[in-house]
Amino acid sequence: MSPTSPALRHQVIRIYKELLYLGRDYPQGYDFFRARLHKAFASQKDLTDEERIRKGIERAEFVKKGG
Amino acid sequence: MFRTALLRSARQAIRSAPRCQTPIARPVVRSSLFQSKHITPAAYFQAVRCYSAHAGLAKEEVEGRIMDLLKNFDKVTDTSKLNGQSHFHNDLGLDSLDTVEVVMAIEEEFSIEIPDKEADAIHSVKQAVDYILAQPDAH
Repeated sequence: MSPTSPALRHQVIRIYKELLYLGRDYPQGYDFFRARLHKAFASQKDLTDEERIRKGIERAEFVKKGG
Repeated sequence: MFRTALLRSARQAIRSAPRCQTPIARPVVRSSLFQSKHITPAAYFQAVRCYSAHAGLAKEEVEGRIMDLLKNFDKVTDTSKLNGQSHFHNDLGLDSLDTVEVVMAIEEEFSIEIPDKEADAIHSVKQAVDYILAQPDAH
């Protein structure tokens, strides 16, 4: 469990869920999408700086809008 | 004359009573298609009541469905550790993102929506079962 603020944690979880729902009809299959998304989020798990986490959430939002 | 007629109708009512028990006891879906003509209004009413009655999920059933769901989840590799008390992270080796996916699958399985805050508090099979049992809408 990260010591970062729970509000940011919830934001990350929410965008993760939203992206998962969007990935349901991904052309290369949901499982492909799910594995990639999981890796993308897991690679950022060491972020502790709130500003950088916010940047990450912004990036996720950008992906969501583009997708 | 009048008395015999009364007796006869009473006897008939007694004889027919057990017969109309059957459609009541049968599942609603089966009777609706083929036996709709035979169903008396009383039996129909009974069927509607059966439909709306709260089924009341049993603890074993909820636990079984959640375990099945976890069994089919590809990130759970060691199913031998899967039981009613399993912790998602400690026993099944799932990380927090996997847990989010498990909770999403549980939401779909029981057709409910779990608010973010409560979803974040579910870390084990037992917690999930307890949460579902506390939800009147879950089915």
